[in-house]
Amino acid sequence: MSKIILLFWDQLLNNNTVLISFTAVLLIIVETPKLRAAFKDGLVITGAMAFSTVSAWIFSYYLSSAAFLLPAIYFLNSLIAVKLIKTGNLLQGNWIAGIKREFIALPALLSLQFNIIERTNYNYQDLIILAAALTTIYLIFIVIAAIKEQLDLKESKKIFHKEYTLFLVLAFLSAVMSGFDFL
Amino acid sequence: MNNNLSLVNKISLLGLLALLTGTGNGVFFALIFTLTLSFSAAVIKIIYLQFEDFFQKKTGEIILWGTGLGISYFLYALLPQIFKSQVEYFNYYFILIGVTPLLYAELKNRSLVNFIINHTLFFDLMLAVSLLRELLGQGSILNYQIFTEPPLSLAANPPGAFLILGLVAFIYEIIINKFKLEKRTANDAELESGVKYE
Repeated sequence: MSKIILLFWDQLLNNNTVLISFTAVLLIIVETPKLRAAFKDGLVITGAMAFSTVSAWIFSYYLSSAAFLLPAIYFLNSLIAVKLIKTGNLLQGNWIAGIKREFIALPALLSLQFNIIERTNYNYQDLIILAAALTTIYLIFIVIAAIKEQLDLKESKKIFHKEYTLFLVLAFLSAVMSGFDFL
Repeated sequence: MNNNLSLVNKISLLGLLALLTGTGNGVFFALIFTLTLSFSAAVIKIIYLQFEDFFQKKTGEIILWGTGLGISYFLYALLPQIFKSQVEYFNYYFILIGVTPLLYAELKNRSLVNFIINHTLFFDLMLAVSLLRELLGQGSILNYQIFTEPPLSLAANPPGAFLILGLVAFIYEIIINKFKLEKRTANDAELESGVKYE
């Protein structure tokens, strides 16, 4: 297997952005719609994330001497990405505790940028790392949408319909992704 | 699935990133993480209540989020100099405290009791998750070795973070339902603020 494909699988499985680094977990748990709509909505979200990360990659390369400015630039990138997601009719209205729904994309976008920039070496391999991270986010988005739909349909007690059931599923998924290396 | 969220569910979702990431390195880091979060939340709340009209507008809201991020970035630069021996624990997750939803939860609510209850519950959850993860995953508490071999090495890894958070939140939910604490806190908050929270 070529080095590029190995790197892609390594980033997709062993260094999975969502399940190993916890990036965008909240956004995925809260914003996943019904499975049918998730295919399109997932594309909108990963597209906006791609924009913010590529932008962060460019700025971090040219502003490496002024690294203290980077969090502010990532924040501005994230705000633009949130706007892009909102144009796709997602993240509308209010969430809980008086917080707007659009806010939940902010930690996801920021942590993805920090996470990716920490892994980059400013060469062609960065493209593979970025592609693997975005593929991960899209795939987990679809998987969680499917699981949520199944949980809603099941006739189990209401207490099991809450988010901690999803945490247990995510625990199993992340154990599979890491190849049960803790054993 | 997000309808009828319980208080435990709400709090764990509002501080999800901190609950998952802040505990992998042990109880000490979890304590610093939680205290920083609560301190930042208190500062944000005071600023918000001082200039409530401005922060209710769109521009004001973005400035408030930026202020939160600024506070956490400042503490990220400051705290490693105070806790020099623990410097490796302060990574980029620490900056993300500034965009933790719990910081901006129920800002309009002037009830101090409600703020304390929310943050105490978050602190409890964080402490329970980190204690279990450090004890089971590393066999120690506050770096003091209790077991020679970790009883459940899974707990120190990412699958353990999801698993233990799910279990702890489930147990808290049962306890809170049993003592009907949720209804009491919601009533107190609504009576004091006049605002009905979902």
